[in-house]
Amino acid sequence: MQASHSTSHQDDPACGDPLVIGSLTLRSRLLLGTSGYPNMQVLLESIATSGTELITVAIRRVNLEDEQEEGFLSTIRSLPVSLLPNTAGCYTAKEAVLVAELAREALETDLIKLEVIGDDETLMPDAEQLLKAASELVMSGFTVLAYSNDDPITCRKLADIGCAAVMPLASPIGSGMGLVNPYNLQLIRELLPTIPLIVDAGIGTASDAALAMELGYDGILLNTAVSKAEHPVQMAAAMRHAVMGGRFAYTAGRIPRRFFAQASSPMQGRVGQ
Amino acid sequence: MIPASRHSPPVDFDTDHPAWAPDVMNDSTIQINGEAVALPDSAALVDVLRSHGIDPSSARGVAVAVNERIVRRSEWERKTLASGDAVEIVTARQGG
Repeated sequence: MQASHSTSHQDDPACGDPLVIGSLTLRSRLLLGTSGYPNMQVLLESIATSGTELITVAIRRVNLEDEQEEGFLSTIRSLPVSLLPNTAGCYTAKEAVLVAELAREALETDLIKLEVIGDDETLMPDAEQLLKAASELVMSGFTVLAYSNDDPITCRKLADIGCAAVMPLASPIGSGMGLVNPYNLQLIRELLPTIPLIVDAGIGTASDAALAMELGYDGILLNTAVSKAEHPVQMAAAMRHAVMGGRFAYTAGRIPRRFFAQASSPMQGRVGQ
Repeated sequence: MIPASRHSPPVDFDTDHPAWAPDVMNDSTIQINGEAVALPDSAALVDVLRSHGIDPSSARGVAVAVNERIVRRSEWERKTLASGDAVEIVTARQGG
């Protein structure tokens, strides 16, 4: 499958509907993680096919023995995407703040995807440590995209602290369960009408992404749904279309749900009347 | 040697035995990414970086922390290490 990239944006009516996060303006509302792909070639094709303009990376120790491994960063830096480092694997505010500072030094960016985890089975955020880290990082000038639980109050606190985006989970990271609590996601959108809201974690397939966009979310961040799909590049294409489709549907203004039928063909002029 | 007492004979301990190795770093080692290495004579961070294939003047995409505090690139030249220091050298990798 031929991978295409930014030329398709010119044909895309969504060009007039960019996602703005801090000083970042994105034409694609799909953000993509870079972990768990079968190989580098599939990763690169998935990035290109997805149309994403923002990919996440983790901050990890340099492998001091194997210099070949370091090709990853130089390769992705050559792509027409921005990098969003994460604080994956951090369990405390202190760890997360250090990792964020290391990320800022290494990648020369103020962007940070803040993850502070409370439990290594569910990977659910530790709200207390998350809020503490967010507060410190915002004060230090970071553009914080905060991975959150789906509690509207935690989300509002993150917004009040000054996070540039709040990113509630659909379901646990990598679970592929989709939106297990769309009601909460809707509440969050109602409570926080203006801050960029991105559904991050648990997306499994295209319809999950489309549904989140139809709820009025500003973007989707996913990784496993694409990287572990049977055909990652194809799923990247599916997600690209799903995010666009969901966004168009949302901005188009859907019809209400009715209990009873409402005929769509007119009754007048029927034969035999 | 511990001299004899009423309760036990004199005991000569083999202090070269690994069981005697202290848990704390001895005077000339530091940790680099979790591995114990000898502290170079210069104790300079930049020498440690160079000896691990990182050229301080040209390396990109790399950051350093010592004892859980970041050392900014502008401070690398001046930074000296002490015995027992824990150095972390990081970069960006695949992640979600």
